Amino acid sequence: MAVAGPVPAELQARAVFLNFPYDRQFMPRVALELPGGERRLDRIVELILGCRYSFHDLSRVELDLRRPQTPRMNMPFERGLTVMASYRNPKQHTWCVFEKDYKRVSKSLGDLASSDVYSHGGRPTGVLREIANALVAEDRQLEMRQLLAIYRDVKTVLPSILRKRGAKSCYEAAVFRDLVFSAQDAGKTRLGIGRA
Amino acid sequence: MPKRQATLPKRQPIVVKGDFLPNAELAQMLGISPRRAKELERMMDEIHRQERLRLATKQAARKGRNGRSRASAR
Repeated sequence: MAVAGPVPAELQARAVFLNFPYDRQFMPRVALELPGGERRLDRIVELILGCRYSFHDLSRVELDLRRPQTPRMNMPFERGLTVMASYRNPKQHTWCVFEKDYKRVSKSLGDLASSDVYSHGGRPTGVLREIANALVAEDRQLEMRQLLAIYRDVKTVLPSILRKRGAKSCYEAAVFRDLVFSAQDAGKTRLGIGRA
Repeated sequence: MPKRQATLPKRQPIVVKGDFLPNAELAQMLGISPRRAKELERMMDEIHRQERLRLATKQAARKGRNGRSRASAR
């Protein structure tokens, strides 16, 4: 779960920094949720340090064809920041790397060649499968049909959330918060857990 | 011929403990007002209600022609 603002200790254990790609039509806003006027980089570092885990999807590290044509470097850069944070506090931060095809990592980021990469094939089912490989619940095992049902619920509710918020992108701060809430709510229903 | 690479070993999964946060607590943590949280719950309830309705309609339509196509059921 992505958490905005300074994270209380009891919630830090649940917090996950999501370093995911944003498509060209979207503007990344999640890091902008943090209060205060510090530089964007400071806010990102604060967000990473406030999370016990981080998931990094490098599948969209590619050339951005808009002028000036440049590679998209934010995701590997934030990944590097996280690696440094985990070196300094190995028991306080755990990271996972996701890619469309694990062979891409050995080519684009050779330093990670010996790391385990969760390869999702660029499809929602692959992403859910690999997240299920990376995370194991102590008291329950999630089935793929349950994960897909939650994914469908969130996808279905998204247009209503966007309309209500007058937003164009799911990466706007308020929309993202609504989605986090709705995903957990859907999860509870699909797993037969009460809301309270 | 290049040597075939071994399948990548997967690191030990992260074991997640604890339960879901209550919705009210999650809403507070995310900065969502109680009113908005109720609205989001209603939206999700509506999605699930429509799904149940769709499944019930589908099951009713299939009743009596299990294992047969629509054409052969006529």
